[in-house]
Amino acid sequence: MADFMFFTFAGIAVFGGLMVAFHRNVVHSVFGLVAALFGVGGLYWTLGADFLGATQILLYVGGVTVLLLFAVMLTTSDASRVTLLRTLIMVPIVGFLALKVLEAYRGVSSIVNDTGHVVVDAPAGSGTTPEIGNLFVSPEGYLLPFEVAAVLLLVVLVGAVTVARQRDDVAAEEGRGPGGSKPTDDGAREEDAVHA
Amino acid sequence: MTSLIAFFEGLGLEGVLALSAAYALCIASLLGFITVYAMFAIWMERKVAAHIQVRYGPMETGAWHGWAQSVADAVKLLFKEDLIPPEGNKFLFWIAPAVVFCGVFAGFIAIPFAEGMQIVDLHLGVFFIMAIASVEVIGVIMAGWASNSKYSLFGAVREAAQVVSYEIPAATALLVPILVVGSFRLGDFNAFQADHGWLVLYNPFLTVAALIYFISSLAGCKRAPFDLPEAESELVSGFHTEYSGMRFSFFFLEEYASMFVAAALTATLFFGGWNLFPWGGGWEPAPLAPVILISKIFFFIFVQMWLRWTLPRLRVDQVMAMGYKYLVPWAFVCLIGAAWFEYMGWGGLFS
Repeated sequence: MADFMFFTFAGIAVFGGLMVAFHRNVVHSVFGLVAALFGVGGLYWTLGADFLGATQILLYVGGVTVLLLFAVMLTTSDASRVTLLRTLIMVPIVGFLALKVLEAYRGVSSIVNDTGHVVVDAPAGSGTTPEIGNLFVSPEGYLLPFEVAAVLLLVVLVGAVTVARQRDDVAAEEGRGPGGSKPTDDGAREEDAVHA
Repeated sequence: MTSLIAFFEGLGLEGVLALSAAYALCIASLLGFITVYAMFAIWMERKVAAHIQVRYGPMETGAWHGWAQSVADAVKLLFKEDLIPPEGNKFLFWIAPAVVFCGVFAGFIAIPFAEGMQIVDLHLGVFFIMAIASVEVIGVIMAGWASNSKYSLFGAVREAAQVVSYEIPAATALLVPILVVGSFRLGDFNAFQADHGWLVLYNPFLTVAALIYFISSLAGCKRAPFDLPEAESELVSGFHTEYSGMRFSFFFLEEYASMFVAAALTATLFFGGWNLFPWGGGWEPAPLAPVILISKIFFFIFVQMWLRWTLPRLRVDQVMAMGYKYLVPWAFVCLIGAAWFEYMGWGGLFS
């Protein structure tokens, strides 16, 4: 049963990955990426990392790829065409270089096998979530990286709002609202800017 | 689930076969349940709308108050021609309704209707339902893009902006009861509320969180006043403009199924689950549990319909202002406030 689930999700992931790399239409590639990320989420689940798998689906399938889709759909389809030959040549080269860099750094196997951090096995019957939660807020675990990541994300959020607002001011000075929305009142423009 | 597998193994089936048979039975019964429920809910919606607008609604089909109207509609949809836009993308157009429906359908497997009466007892219950429901957005964008129609694409883009935005207050509001109970498992919420009374009355922050979650779930289900992705007065019918026949009905099934999931989460996390009285429970006999829970779920579905037919639709900017200016900050206030109450050991009106 575990084999069956593994090969199903691995198949979805590999199929999606191939679609990302080789499909001529970029929008299709993004949908392939959705399949690949979903497959990887399922693989986490088969490995017993249920929290990680669900987070993968929530954040990557439902969140990040939606933003990617927006970005891709707003580009013209002519500019988004990639030739098959170039992809065929580039994929092995980039993959080989990435492998070499990793080997030069530490050796691939050691990266996978010993991360040098706390690793906890999930006890049967409660899932991995309580352990992950405890590790995130305990000083022996990942409290500092967690806090740093939180601060980083906050800075990114504030920065995004600031950048969007500045562009909005320029647009307002030129006498037109931000693209795609009716300039109804100040509140509307501000919220569009936040969302952009 | 395990008992079902054991039952099929008792019939003489081997390991994987018994498992597949059990899953197939679960999926088939769930599909049947969702279909029948959706038909009933559509009929109910028409009746509620009619009575709010002081008319009768369907009265002819099936003699008694038009009860067979949805059945007749379903038969009509089954036989309707399935049109695919020639300029659109056939594969994505074909697969989009399935993706949309699967996201919500998968959420059903984690909902407990009584002690042990659920398909999979996930430790991650709430989180899993939230996560898998977010797949639906991808399907809607797929549908909107593959239709090759401006209205569809506008609808899909609005849907994506709205649903992704309202996931933040919805998830944050759901974190408040999770913080109090200390578990993602939906069964634990029922057990906790049997001892301590309904969580919505547990402390004031939970009351506000329940309200925030309910409003956000309306936006997540694309229900009025947040039905901008469909906005029939501006966008024909939004992202499913080009769909017809059976594929169109899948979007309808999805809408009503997601209303059910949202109402089930509201009922289980905030309003006591299968505990009948606000001050706790646990005395209810097991066969009564699904009846209590489903009555609560239908009450919240009724509230969703009630709001749909009494509130005007918000503008796009008002939807975004509502989400980011009011719901998100208040959800954070609730989370911090509930954590403070828990730290001080306050709360629990009935415990």
